[in-house]
Amino acid sequence: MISSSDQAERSRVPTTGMRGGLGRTLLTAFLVLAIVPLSTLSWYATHRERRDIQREVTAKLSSVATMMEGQVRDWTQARLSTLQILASVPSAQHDAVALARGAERADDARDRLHSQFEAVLGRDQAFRRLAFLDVQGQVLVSTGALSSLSPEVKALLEGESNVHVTSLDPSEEHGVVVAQPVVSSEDQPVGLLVGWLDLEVLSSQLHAPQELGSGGEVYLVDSSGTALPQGEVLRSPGIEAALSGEPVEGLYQNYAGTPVIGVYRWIPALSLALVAEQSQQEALAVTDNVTAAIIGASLLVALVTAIIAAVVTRQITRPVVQLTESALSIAEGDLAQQVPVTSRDEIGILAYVFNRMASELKSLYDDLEAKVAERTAMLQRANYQIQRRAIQLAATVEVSQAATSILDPADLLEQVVRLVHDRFGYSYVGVYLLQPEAAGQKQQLRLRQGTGGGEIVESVMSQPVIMNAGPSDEDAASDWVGRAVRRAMRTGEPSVISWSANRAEEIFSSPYIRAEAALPLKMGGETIGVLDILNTEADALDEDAISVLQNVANQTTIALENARTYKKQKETARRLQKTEAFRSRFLAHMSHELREPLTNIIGFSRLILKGLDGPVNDKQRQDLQIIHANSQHLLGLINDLLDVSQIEAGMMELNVQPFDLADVIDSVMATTNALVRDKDIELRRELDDLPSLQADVTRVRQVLLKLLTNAAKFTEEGSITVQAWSEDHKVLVSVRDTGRGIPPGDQQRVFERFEQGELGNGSHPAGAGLGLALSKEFVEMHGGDIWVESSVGEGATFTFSLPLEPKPEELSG
Amino acid sequence: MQPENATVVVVEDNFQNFVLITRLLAYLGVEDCEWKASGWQVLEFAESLSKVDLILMDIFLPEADGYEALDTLRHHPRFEDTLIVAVTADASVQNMQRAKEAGFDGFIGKPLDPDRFPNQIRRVLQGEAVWEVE
Repeated sequence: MISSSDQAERSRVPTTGMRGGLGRTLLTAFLVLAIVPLSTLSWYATHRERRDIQREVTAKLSSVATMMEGQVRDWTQARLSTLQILASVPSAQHDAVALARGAERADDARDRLHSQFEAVLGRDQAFRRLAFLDVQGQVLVSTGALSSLSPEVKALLEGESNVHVTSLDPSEEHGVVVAQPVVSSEDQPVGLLVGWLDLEVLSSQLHAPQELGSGGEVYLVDSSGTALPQGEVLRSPGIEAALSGEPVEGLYQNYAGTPVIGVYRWIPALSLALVAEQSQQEALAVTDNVTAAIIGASLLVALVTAIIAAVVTRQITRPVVQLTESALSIAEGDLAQQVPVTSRDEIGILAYVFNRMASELKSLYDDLEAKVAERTAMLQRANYQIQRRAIQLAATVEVSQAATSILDPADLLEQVVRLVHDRFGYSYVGVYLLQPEAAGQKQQLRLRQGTGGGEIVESVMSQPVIMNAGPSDEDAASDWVGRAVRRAMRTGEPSVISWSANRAEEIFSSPYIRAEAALPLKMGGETIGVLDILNTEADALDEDAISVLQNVANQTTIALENARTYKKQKETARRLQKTEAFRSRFLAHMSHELREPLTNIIGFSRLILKGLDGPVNDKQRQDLQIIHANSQHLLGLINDLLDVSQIEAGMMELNVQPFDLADVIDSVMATTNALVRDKDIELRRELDDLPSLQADVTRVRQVLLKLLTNAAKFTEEGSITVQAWSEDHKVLVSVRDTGRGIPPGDQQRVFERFEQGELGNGSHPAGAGLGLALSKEFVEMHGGDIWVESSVGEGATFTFSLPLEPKPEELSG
Repeated sequence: MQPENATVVVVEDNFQNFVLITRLLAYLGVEDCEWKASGWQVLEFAESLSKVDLILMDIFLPEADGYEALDTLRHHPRFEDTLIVAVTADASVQNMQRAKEAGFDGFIGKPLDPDRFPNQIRRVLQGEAVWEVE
């Protein structure tokens, strides 16, 4: 079925229906060129012929007319001559005169004259009648009855002419009359001899000559239009012209309506017109023959021309038509068109050029087709690659998701191997990791995770890959398995190996595995393993795929490293937690276990010193005091160390609660009392009304105790004053002593660990120099401050401030 | 109450500490002084004790700590009204507070000060509240 659109399409393509165009045009041109001049020529020839013939006929008619005119004139003249002779006959003359004079014997004369007349009439048939008239017009003698003075006689009498034509009507008896005056011997006019002419006789004279043919006619026409021999009034352009006196000739239709060639003459002597006519048909009969011959010849010539033209046209157009047909075939897609080159003219050149163009077009087209096929293949390949790349990228994304979400190395590797195998569609995917080096063993890689392939492939791939010591034996012929892995491991670059079917059969017992790609798992400059891939097509492991896979390998490495680090960190954290717990337990234990024996030493030495166990001599007392003092020093040191280590471990936490600072001050001062009871020192207490304070009471107590203990330690006599007041959302506590003071250079150092002032005697006071540092630590943990004001010899004032409510962020210290 | 008439039970896992306490109590005048290593021992021997005026309870004990021991003792009709004072090396204001809330009748921090301890006990026996961290 051809659809309508196909038809529409086809109708736009020029078809062979157009092929006649050029031929037809040429043929028409040829015919027009042949026929038009021929026609013109023949028309001209015919025309000339007609004109010549017409002229010839006219000339003939003219001569006929001249001849007839002469005849008519002669005939009339002859009658006149007859009358002249009669008049000149003396007897007749005599009789006539006698008659005219009315003399006697007039009757005789009449009779004689009459007989004379009769004789004439007998001799000449042309006279119808004869008469003798006197000068008055009285009929003297007449043959036949004759009325007196008839109009024609009257005309004769009056006129000069001796011929008078009244009418050419043959029935008219008085049509044409001739007259001869009769004169006496004395030359006196006596009368007139009048003869009436018979028109029929005249008309018999008017026979057209033979050469005019049957269509020829000669006739006379009188002024009234009556014609002779027709004897009736006729009308025609020729007659009109003749009567008007124009001696002309022409073509017209005669009285009977026949087209004629006519010549006409006016005969003034007779007041008659003479018309000679010949029918055109007859006259031009020859012309028509000639014309027919010419037309026939023209047609023949035209026919011949047409045939020649057709042949020539065909000759000319055939190659053009062939070209056209070939061009149309090409247009329809058949490019294998060749036109035979038959001539060396322009058409031949055109055909040659056409053939060249067609073959060039064909080669171009073929080339184009090949190119299109190539491009299509390329596009398909590109498309396939893009699709594959999209899948691979998606897989890469999945791998990176897995990499970020899976923290267990084994799970991670399983996921990566599965994703690469499933998404990339490779036959076998495995990950080898470098084993930790063992003494005396070569470096080796072990398969950690693998998927795909058959049992044999799996067993082949699961063999450990042992790194050779040097590169020299790397490619030992037998060592095909693991070659790519070793290479990737050694170079840190992707390594691709193509297998022949035989080789594959040999290694994997399968001829289908064709390529192996090993991608190093690189971390920094170090290769920790290899991602190994087997595939049935080497194409699927092209450069692009390798770069994508390398990307996957890189991500896997990072993820693996992350997972390992995570594991390590988890272990570290656990160990740290354990350490912390241990440290915490250790501290708690130490605080108990270290202090308890010390408390016993202190307690029992004091017991003895107090004499509870009996009297003690001075030496014993001194020794015991040393034991007691050192034990107490050690206890303080241990306490401080425990605090410091607690702070260092970040385990020192403030237990903030509201308490009454005054109570704490009182309690500490009560304790301090024991320290100053052997010295001349007054303990003073100057407390304002204090608001409730939020702080860790134990630490505040410790600080206060430390300041008081220090003051007691460095003061020999005078006073120790504890002051407390509040200002600006703070509570301030100061301990002022009257000791020897601290030099300005040392005032900051006293708050540093293991720094302490010197006693006056150059010896160090008891304590490890941790007390003030700890106090500073505790105060600052509360968000407070501690400082000292002192001048040497005038004592020192230690002051610390505590915010009424510690700021939340400062609690965490 | 005079120290001479008082019966004091010392719950202390460290024998040397008990000896020190006993010696200081003896210096004070206390003659009847019993040593128990744990709260359970106190309960165990509750019936055999004629009277108990004061229990000095270490907090840091093996087995049940001082708070548990206190709780157990308080549920015993024999010790409902007995003075029980915490004596501990874990001497902090917080612990003292906790002891107060738990129902102890006093708090004396270790190390014991031989100079002050006899006096502290005397005050306890006289019905004074003694809450001293040091």
